[in-house]
Amino acid sequence: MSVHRANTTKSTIADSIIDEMNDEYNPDMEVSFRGYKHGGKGFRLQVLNVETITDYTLSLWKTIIASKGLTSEINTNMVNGKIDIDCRVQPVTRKCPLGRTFYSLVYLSIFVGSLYTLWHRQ
Amino acid sequence: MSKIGITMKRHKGLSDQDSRFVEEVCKVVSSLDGASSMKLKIVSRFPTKFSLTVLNPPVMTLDDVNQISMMNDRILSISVDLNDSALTIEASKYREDIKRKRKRVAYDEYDIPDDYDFSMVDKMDDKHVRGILRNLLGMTSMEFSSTIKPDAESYTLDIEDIETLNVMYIIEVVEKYRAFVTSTVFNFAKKKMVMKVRRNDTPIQQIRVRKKLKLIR
Repeated sequence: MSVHRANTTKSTIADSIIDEMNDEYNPDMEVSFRGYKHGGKGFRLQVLNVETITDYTLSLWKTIIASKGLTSEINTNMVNGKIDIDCRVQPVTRKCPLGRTFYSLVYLSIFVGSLYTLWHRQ
Repeated sequence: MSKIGITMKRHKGLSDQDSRFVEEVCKVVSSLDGASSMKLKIVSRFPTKFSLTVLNPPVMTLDDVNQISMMNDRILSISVDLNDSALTIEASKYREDIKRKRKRVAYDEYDIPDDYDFSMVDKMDDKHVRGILRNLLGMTSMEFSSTIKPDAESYTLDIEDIETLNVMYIIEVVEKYRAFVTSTVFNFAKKKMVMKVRRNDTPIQQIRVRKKLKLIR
């Protein structure tokens, strides 16, 4: 009886990243989809048969991934010649949370109120 | 008892002590059933460490793997890749002047997502079964498939499509749930790890305890 079945279907974002990761210096390079991260927080790609790797290649890969709204972590295993690219979904953060704005307004109104009371007494 | 006769040429990147360790590992793994198709890959080009990969190893229990970890105190990690059918041992190269202490492994537990189905697990076993899975989720970052088959005395937990596992982490989980986990098997041919988890209402047959021995010289 299944507790959980890992999803092995490639997402369209992963597909488009793989398509864009062409490299003229590594013609035999193979990029494959390895699966999703726990809790749907992203996915992992694996790169094989890489001959040369430069800062330019790494930054190019990071730019491609960032253009899809994802952050990336690249782990290179020189012993096996494997490169794992973890693509993570960026956590959604509100720039100005509603709660903080509310508290700011409360403090401001208390401050203004105190000033008015002091001025009124004089 | 069968006698295993394996002789290997000394690998040029390894010292006598490291070559002997490689030979011993070969003997231990070859002594298991189904070891006829296994292959060995040694990477020794780095100055301080080397790695030994056994490709297509036979079915191995956690105890079998633990034998290897006890054979050399310079082992850095033992990893199991079920998808690629490989057991990789990474160790420091032998140097008389350097003695390393093995670091204790640590990982965080991961909360089980709501969509996981534990309907086949009895309420009294829910806590430890979930606990084991929480630990397995914590030591990995990628999704894996898991099935639980309830038997009369235990549950069979099958783990498939899992990323490369650090054996030290598995040993840690088995140690943590030693009253419940009765066996752990790595089936490389079927690309799965099988754990037997005892039901709470069945008597304990044996508890797996690793006794730490202190050698006095």
